Amino acid sequence: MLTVTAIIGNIKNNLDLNLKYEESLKKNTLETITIQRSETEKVRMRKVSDKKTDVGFILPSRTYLKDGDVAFLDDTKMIIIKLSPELVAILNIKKRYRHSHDNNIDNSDDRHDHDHDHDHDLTNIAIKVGHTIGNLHRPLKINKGDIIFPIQSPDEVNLFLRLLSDLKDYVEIRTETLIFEPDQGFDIHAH
Amino acid sequence: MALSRIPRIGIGGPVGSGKTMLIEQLVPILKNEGYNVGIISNDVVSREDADRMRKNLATERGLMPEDLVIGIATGGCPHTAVREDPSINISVVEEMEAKHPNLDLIIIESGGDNITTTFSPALADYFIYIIDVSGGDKYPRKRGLGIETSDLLVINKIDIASFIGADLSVMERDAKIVRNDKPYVFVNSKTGQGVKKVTEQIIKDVLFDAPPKSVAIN
Repeated sequence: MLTVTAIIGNIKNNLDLNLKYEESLKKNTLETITIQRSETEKVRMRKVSDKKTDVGFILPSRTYLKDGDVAFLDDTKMIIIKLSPELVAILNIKKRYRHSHDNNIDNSDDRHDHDHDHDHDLTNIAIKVGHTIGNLHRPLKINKGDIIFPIQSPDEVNLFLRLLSDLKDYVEIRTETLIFEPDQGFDIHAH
Repeated sequence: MALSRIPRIGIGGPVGSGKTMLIEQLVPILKNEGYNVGIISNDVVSREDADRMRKNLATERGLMPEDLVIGIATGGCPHTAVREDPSINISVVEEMEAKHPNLDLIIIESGGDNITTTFSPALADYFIYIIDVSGGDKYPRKRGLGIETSDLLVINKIDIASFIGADLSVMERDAKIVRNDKPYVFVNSKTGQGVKKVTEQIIKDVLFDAPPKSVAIN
């Protein structure tokens, strides 16, 4: 068993490791260990790579494994962590509503009142969405206006649509399967 | 620091599923293999389970010192003490590590809870979720984080399956589907049937097939 006691770095933010990753891909010396999101905080676990290398992780406390982390590197192989894609709901405020006053070039007092109401509405929507997702204890990622959180079944979208029924004209929800890595501080437990 | 941390297993499951009895079966097998184990048992109000294990495993059978079975009465929802705020359990674990550095393993039992029970990775390195057949053979396909994401699913009380009309092959089929490649074991914790497989998983996946510390030191 190969013992890993520290993560070397990540191919997504370390240029040198990224080059080594590309090189390893070409040489066919790249190995991956796929983990679930629930395993990203594990500091002790035993895994087998896609090329059957037996790996025991004994990592320092509070290590958070990320997609693209390099667990092992030498001349013969590179082992990276791959996070398993999962089903998520992606909620966003409808663009036509979100940007409505961007298209309005009127500078009158009416326009000022309109903007004020609009901002007020947006605040209400954001708080209600945050309150609803938070009540269901979901970790969260926000990406370019998309509010992303994991779900266990596509049926859960109906639950959220129902909980947010008074916002149905303003928000839309779709599902996707992707690698979900919560924003730091929003990685609370889910249940 | 990481290498000196004693491996920790969390065992969760509904009330009456057999968490305490599973531990009572695991410890003698592990002890027989030379592994020394400490136990922390959470319960909502009482320390009954800890008292029972201390009497059975330490006082009567001498498999461990009495101070290696510690009971914690958590008060509120049991999962809060092993997931949301595991600080009380972590402090007891650290105390146990300081007093007994040669332990091979610490087992933390959650109070009885629902199918979404999980352990904070800050507390437990490996999570065993136990259910029993009395809930019916639909249980595994009901999913829930405990059933789906635990490192090992234990299905207990297989001896009563026929009495309550539970089909073990249905449970096995569904466990395979919902857990992908993750392992599951059928046991009868009363007789010990199947428990050896649980210890084999622990020795492989948690202890990394390392010899007991007492053997390694000698």
